Amino acid sequence: MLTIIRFELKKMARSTFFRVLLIGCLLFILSYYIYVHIHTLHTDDLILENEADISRMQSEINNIEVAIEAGELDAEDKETAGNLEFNKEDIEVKQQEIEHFRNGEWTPLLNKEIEQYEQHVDNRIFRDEYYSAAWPTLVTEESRLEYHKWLRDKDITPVYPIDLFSWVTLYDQVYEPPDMEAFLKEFSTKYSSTGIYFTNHVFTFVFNILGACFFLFLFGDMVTKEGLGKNGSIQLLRTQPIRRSKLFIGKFLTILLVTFLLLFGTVLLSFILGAIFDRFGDWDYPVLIYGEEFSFSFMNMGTFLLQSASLFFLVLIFCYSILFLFSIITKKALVSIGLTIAILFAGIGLSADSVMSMIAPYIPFHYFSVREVITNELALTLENSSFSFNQGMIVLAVSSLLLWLVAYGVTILQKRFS
Amino acid sequence: MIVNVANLKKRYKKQLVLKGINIKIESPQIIALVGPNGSGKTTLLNCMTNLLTVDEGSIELLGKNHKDSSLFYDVSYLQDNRILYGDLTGYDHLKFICQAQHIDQSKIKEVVERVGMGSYLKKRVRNYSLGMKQHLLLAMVIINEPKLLLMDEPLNGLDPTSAINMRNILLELAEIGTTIIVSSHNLDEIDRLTNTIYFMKDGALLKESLTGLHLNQYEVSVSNADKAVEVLNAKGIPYSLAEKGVLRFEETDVSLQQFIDCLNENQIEIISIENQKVGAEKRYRELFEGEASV
Repeated sequence: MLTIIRFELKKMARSTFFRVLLIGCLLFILSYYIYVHIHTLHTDDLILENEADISRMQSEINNIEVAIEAGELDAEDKETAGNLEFNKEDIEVKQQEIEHFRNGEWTPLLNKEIEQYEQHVDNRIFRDEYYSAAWPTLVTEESRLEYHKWLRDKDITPVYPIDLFSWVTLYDQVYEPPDMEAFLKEFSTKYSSTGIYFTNHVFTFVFNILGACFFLFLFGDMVTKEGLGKNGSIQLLRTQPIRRSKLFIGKFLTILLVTFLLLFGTVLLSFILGAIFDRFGDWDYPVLIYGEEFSFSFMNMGTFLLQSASLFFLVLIFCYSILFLFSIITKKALVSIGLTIAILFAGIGLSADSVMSMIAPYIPFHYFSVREVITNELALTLENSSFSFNQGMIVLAVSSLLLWLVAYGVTILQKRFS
Repeated sequence: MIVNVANLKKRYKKQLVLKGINIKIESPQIIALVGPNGSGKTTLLNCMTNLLTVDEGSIELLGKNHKDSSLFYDVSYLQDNRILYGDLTGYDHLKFICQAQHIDQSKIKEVVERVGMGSYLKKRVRNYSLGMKQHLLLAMVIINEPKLLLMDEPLNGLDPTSAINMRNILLELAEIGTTIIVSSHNLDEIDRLTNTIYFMKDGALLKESLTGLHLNQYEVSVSNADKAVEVLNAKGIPYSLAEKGVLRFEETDVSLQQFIDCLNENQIEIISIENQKVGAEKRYRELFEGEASV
């Protein structure tokens, strides 16, 4: 088996198509990193933002003082005095914030947010306001508060912005005014170029049906390029003292190994880029996980990434199993890839219609949106708590196994009629 | 038994392409398979190596069922060059075979020198000429010093020097006890390789071919042909009439000496005896008269 795997790895490494796709992949990660880095609010940006605010407030104070000197405003006037006082206090606050940013002291900043909303959230809980759908819903405010507490308690550098406008949840269904929705959703999309968080960005971008299609193209001709059913290179392998079943299993294992290495390489590259151009990041960074009945919890980002990668790996195994089946039947690379992708899209489309059925959690196509599965967004949206990470892993593994059994049956039939 | 093919039948869809082939090879030798395109030569070799399934009959190679993959430690099959991987080098192919068959990789150098492909060993196969690919294929099948070597058109694309080199290698292998079954279109080369040729036509081995080639055929000129015919018929000695006064005799169960003795005993004067060795091409023409190509 090891001989086959080594040989397949060598063939893959020497393939121009594979190399081109790998370079494309590398360029994508680099470009995406640049994009994320540009959109990240770095400490310097926050300082500049605060300095701009200070400058604006200072000029407001100056204007008021000039107006007082010119006799246009009365210094004893309550409103004038209040304005002056407010701006001076705000400048002080902003200067303090700048100091905290410079020194990397996040706790006071988080404490400020926590103190500001804690009483308010407690009151809403007391009033049992869970059933309101208008932003910010109680779950939104409550989860945001807990999120900040998690950051503070674990001494984690927050990803900015951290104010109320940067937090929406699935429970927020009504926005007033309506155009607030687009603003809030955009504002709550946070970017961080730290290693761990950037990995999360990449995984979010890649771990879906499109990412699966990329991997299908990468390995699409793994079986068919051997010239099944004619005098292709598979004949070289078949005239060696190697069992035929081992040839296919060896190829499949090679694909899994390379997939694993690619995912691992992506993580490694993301970590390296983050470590060089920003910092490694926080393994414990909180990810919101929805629960039943307005409950929620947090998962640390490290675990979240591991679970995402594991579930996506199973998604890929499922896709490869379909691809292998079609490769064996059609013996043509493009036809097999095309049919596999068509089946995937059709499966996802058709399974969307069956969300209310009892068998919905057993349909593998539901688990392609890896992130939604792990955060339980899928379970919440479809109102079925059976959609979970564990369920996804089992369903995908069993489906792949069934496909392999079908493929085995097809090869037996083909051999009989060859 | 080196090869035992019994009543081998193979169908493609409903067409019977191998019609009950029987081959028994008990001692090491070189056997050529000759026949027109579509006669079933490659199908036969592919069935023997289990690349194709068999519909009826049985195949044993070196005493084992042909489906036993461990056979390939001792059996090699030189196939079409499409089995090669264009992105890999010749060295990669040989190294893989060494790994798959647990052969010491030092054999690579030895076999490469023997075949004469040292200069391009580390180039990608996609840049090889047809002849270079044939060299590589040859190196790949002899690196394990097989007991049975099956070859499908090994001389394709070889220049005369390479063809001579390949012939010498095959003869050397035969000398050390390798049985070689070679299908080829190059009848001259076959003549130089072996005197055992199996002719195939429409999926069957022709009976004539099983007796072997290079039988000594003689044209015997006699003084009294009519009497000679009478005598030979009476004795049951096979012959044919070549032309007036000339008898054609093929040495089979009856030797030339017995033929001569029979004529002498009956006072038939022998004017001349001309030995006409039958070549593969001549026999081919006899068997496949009217066939477009080999």
